[in-house]
Amino acid sequence: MVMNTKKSINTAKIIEAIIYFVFIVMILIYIYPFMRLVLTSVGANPNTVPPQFIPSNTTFEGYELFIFNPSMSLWLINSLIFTFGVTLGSTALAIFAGYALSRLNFPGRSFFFWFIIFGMMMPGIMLYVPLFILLIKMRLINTYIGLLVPPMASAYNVFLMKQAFDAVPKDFEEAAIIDGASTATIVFKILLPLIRPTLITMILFNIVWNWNNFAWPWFVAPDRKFWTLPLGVYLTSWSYTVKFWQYASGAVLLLIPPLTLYTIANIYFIRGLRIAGLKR
Amino acid sequence: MVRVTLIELTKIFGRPPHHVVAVDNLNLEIKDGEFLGLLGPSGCGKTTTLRLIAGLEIPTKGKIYFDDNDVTNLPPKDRDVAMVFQSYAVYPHMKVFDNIAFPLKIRKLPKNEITERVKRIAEYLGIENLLDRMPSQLSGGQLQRVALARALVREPKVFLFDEPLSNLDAKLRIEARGFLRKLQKDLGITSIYVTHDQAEAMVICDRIAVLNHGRLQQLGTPQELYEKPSNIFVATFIGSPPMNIVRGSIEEEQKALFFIIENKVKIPLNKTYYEILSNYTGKDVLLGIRPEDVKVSKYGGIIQGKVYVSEYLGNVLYVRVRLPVEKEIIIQGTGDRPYDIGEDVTIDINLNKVHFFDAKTEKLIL
Repeated sequence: MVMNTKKSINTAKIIEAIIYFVFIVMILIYIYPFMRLVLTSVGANPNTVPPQFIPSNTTFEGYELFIFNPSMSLWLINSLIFTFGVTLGSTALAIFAGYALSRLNFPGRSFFFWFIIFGMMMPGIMLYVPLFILLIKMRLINTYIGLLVPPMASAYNVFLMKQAFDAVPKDFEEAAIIDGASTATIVFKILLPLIRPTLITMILFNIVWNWNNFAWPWFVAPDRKFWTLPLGVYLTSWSYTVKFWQYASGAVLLLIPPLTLYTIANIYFIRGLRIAGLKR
Repeated sequence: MVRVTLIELTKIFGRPPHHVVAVDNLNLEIKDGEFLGLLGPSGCGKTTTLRLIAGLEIPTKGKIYFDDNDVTNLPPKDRDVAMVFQSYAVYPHMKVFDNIAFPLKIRKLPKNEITERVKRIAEYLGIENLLDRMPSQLSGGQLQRVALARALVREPKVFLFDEPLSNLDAKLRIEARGFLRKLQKDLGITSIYVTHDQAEAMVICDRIAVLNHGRLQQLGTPQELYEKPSNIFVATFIGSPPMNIVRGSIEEEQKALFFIIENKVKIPLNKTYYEILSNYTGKDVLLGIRPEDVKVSKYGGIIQGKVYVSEYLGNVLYVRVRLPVEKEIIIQGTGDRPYDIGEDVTIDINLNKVHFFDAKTEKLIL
């Protein structure tokens, strides 16, 4: 008996060691691209392609290029306008549409819901060409309306809000109705606070997606005065010889705000993911 | 304070052929200041009736009056009713104070008046020390009082309860039902109380409306329902353990009536019943007798039987006895001592307390 217990303890220890080893390997695989990005950003050597993992010379030229770039403030402002404009509009739209789909009885409700789900199945990039043609016909290329309004329509956000509202028991709402609350009071004072973890998670995801969005702004607002940070980074570093360290330092700069946000909101993220249970 | 009148109230969910008649032609008058119970099994339409009165559902047919005002099509907020939900529906993201103040804030009352009224009602319900807490820090009983406070703080015309005690444990429930009854009598607000627990309805309510399949079975005081149930449904639904129902026939021998079960058991009936029951001679009827009116003893009863099981509950001892007939008929009575299973015993029935029901319509004959 004693022998057996000892044996099983040893087996358990070996299994634990293997699990830890696998974890460590996975973490290294995850960290590697980040390490590579950060290391590349501080070493300039145009003659080595691909760049060395640990650069032979150290330089902050890439960072200087962006930080002291006179257009940097414009890109930053454009990025903030794009990120927060789209996130705000999209969130508002998702709240109202989600509430309507979850709580209001109107003919064609389930048709609309499935229609929106269908939209979710389609890769967003597929819609770019038809949207581009539409925006040209509406003369909205290189305008804020063209840049900000189309990406506000997010099937994923609507779906997420509808599911979150569905999960709130009807009693809360009916108690408020009997107490004399209006629909606006019910939505903003009762329902939204109850789905706060999901809502915050959704907003955070949206901020990150929009902050990193490269293709849409370039597609519909290629004019220099609408350039966002990702566009600025890409188009400044672009030349006949590719300067990897410039791209890399631009990417590191781009990474800082979402990373900070993630860290601060970590607690909400973990709670919200448990509720939302899915990611785009 | 108002009188609530329901006239031919009907609620149908869905469209034929998949429709459900939740409330069927319900006529009911709830007196000013009365505590009325809506009692029935699940799916009997009691909660739907309450929601119709609250305005959360619009009736398919019929009218609802508060005094002489037709409120049938008014939205809930214009009816001035308050409701306590089974789940309490206390908002988890607001402090107790804000929960209670919520209906007053919606009415945009001045801040100092809100504070004063919330404090007064909290003191009245004994939760004044909980006002700064979050609902997650409260027990079931405390949550229930918060829900009550939120309903009371508005001083509504009609108070609606949707099984408010079913989430409490047994001890707390018994405590709370006495509290609710006293509260309602103190305030005199017309109240309607939905429950499936007959004991709760009997303790709390002035009158009880028993519903089944959306139809009103009987309306009366708890005593009336218990002593003169209008049909088999009410007879077996009210009272615990339920009334014994035995099928048999009425036979006449020399100007005296007997209740006969399968030609084997013969129970002589009181002379006073002769006039009414002689119409049923030779016909099947259902005899109803409450367990407390059946005495089980070793010798001396009028019917022989074998003990099926005996249940000792401390203050009372129920004995179930199988009658010596083909079909399995078990009568529950009270015993003088615990009996062994299968023991021969005799049953004595208090013949002044028997009820008879028509075998076809299941309605009360006597």
